[in-house]
Amino acid sequence: MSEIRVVTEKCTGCRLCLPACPYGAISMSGKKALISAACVFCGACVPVCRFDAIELFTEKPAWDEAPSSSGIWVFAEQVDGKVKPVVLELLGEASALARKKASKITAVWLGPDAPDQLQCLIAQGADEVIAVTDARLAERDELLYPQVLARLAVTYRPEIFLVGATGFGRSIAPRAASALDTGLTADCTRLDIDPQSGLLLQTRPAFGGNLLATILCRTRRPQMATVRPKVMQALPADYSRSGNVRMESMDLSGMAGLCIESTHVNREDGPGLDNAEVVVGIGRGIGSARQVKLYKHLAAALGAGLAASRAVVDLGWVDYSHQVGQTGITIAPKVYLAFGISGSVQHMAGLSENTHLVAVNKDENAPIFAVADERVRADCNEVAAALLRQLGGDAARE
Amino acid sequence: MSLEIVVCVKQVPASTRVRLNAATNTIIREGIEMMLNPFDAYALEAALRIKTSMGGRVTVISMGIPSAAEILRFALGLGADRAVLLSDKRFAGADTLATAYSLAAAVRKLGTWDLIFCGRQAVDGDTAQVGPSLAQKLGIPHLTAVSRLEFLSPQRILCEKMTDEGYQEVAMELPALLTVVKEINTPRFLSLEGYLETLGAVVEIWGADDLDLDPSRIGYDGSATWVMSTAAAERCKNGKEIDGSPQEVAAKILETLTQQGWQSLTSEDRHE
Repeated sequence: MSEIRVVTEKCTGCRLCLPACPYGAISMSGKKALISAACVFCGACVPVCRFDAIELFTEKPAWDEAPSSSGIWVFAEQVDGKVKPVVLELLGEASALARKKASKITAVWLGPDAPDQLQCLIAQGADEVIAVTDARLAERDELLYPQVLARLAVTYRPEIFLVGATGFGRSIAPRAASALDTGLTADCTRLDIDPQSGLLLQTRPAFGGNLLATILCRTRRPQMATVRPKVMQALPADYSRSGNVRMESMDLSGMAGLCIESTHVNREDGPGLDNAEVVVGIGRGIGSARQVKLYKHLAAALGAGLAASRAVVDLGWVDYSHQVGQTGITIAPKVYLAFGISGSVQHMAGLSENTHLVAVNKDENAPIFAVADERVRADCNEVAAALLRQLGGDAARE
Repeated sequence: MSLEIVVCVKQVPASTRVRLNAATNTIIREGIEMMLNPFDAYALEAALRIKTSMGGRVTVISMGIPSAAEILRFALGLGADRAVLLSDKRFAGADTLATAYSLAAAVRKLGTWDLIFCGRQAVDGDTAQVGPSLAQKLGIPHLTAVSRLEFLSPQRILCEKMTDEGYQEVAMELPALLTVVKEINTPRFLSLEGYLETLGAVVEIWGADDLDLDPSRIGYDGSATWVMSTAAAERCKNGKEIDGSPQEVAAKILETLTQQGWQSLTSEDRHE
């Protein structure tokens, strides 16, 4: 028989244990921690206490057996009350997995009340939506969100939980997985169901994209993965689909949150790299910082986004928001015009395999030529200037 | 009041060419040149600057094979005060969850701490998961991708963090864990005096028995995830060669763009 108790003489009322509990089972009573019947003896609170005030006696660790679980969850990340594009890609991928596993797909929405967005989730493949619409969830809070997600997962026990590998997703998913003491695979580019075991096969690039590792989470649930944006395919929206929307009322008052002072959105001229149909990429082969202007003009004339290799960003020629690759962003334009980019695996890891790649480089042996659809072995600045002239622009103009 | 600052660092291969243990599908870390994870240099620098401006003590901590002590000595040479290496065969093969669990036990053994820094991610695994997972295990808030940091009071900080859309400003009470991006600072170089200091620097080695932890939750056996298989990532296309003068090449590129559905901008679309 498991047992947990707070040693009241030792408890200082510091509240450190409150956010550590994935089940929201600890509250304050008379300046002492109080553990409610919601406790499942997971032990997450015990090491967090700096005063050894929580004592736990368990028969055996809770993860010895794979707990029963079912369903595929997709975290419906929103920004300003709108679902992010990666969520639709995840729903498309979840639909493919659900065909192999006969699972229900649940989209989990945390944020403001937005009925049209919840309907959109169903149209894009969700069978059900669980929505927690608390005013405190309007801002994406890296401390509050994982607590809410962990508590939902404990209540409904999903078998698989997918999160977009956005900046926010990559922050909250590991925290939620840690609270649930389950496995999480980062930045997956391929998902499948193992026909024998029914386990989720999670494939991700590792070592700068040199290796593809397929990873399993055998006994703990949910099996969690973050998935790179622009890799999976969204389904066309089908508004004839119907699904249940479960408005979950959850008391967040005991959950700590961050104090977000302000949120700023960068507004740059031209299309963002994320959604540009054509992207002009620059590498160290363009020669010097002075040449960057030519490519900015070219991108503007094409209505294209401007991307850069890590080398160019490290040299300070353009800022980090332009960096494409393993440690930058992932893009999936229709056409990528790569100028002076050698084509390291790290850089190529940021480019969709479906993109038509035109590589311009005077280094005959640049690795990028092995993966390019069209190879131009020439001085990239001369080609770029000629291209700009044919578009009616002039590189020399300022 | 002086601050207790912890920096979590990782030793990574200096090249991304790797060898694998075929039986366990884990990385063979012996016999290849290793270095401090580049992102961790920014974390260490952030900690050292706070030590200078606010007063305090910097402890660097890592988990790895015995030779990982080298990066910790490097950190001591740069100005860290104490270095701890978790090294024990039983820690080997840990996934990010088991790593965070082990690091949490080590951080708790240090006693008090106000700020924990981690790099944005390690360049070998690229998961960026240990920082947030560790913060959860310690029951403290975390913030990822921090690009600027200032103290509002000795126990309250204001952070600027990068988001996919722009940036956010977040105020935090200490203790807290921050993962930092390279925008936060420019790491210092090792001075000659610092280098000489590394030669005799002492790195404490802690094994699983030195920590208050559940041995079933560490290392390979204690991990939630296992690598089932690995394959070399290869993509190879037989691309078309385009020859000619720059003008001819440019015309062909425009042709390709048009074939792919690109439409030239009308004059109203132009920003100029």
